[in-house]
Amino acid sequence: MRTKGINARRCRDCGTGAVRLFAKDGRTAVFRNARLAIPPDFEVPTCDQCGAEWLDHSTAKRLNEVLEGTYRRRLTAAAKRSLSRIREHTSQRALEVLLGLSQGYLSKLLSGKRAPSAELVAGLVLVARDPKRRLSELGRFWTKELAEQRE
Amino acid sequence: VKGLAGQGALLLRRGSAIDFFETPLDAYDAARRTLLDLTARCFCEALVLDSDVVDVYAIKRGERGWYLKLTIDEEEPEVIVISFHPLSRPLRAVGGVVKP
Repeated sequence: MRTKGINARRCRDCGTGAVRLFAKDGRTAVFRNARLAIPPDFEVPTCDQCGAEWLDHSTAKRLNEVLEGTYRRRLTAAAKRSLSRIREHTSQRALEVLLGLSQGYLSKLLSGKRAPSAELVAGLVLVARDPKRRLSELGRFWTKELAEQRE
Repeated sequence: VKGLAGQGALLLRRGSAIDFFETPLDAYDAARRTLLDLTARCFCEALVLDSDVVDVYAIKRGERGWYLKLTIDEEEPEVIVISFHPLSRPLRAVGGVVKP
């Protein structure tokens, strides 16, 4: 936890505190479809009395960049964890077919050449919760249920 | 307000708006665009707080009504957006009632 005295200005939320750059652990922010931890050393203009946090353009831009990196790393890690579980029950290629992915896509993902989309990670996480059952359901959907659906 | 927002002289309270947008920068940009589109018809009231006068506006953003509370920091100078979030109840503005 640390503060900086630069750019101190009066807090317009409480009216009394001074707003200074302040870093601390435990802050979170919504980023895309997730809530992520803000790095503990990331400084946000913060009131030293009421704790109100403020964003100027520079802080918002830097925070976006930091959270984007975190988000991508978390998605990739979640995808890899899920794939590891799913591959105990099926081949990588068979999974690509079930998920509508091009051949070799999952290899690129595992090697870090491609970043997974949130949609793909959501699918992988759900399949990995119960691989045997979900893979069977997906196989049935593509080979039987889709053909039987009325338009 | 528009002049300062146009120059990017804007400070947004984190927490009021940020959770309603995909990213912090989206929240900041939305607040800035909203300020640029403000008209007198959106004005609701001026409130005298401890040492500031703040203006309250009700704005239609898409299908939803939004609450905006701001003041001007004359020293910086800068627009300070204290609240920016969807309305929880209808609010009467100069141009009429804005619903949530």
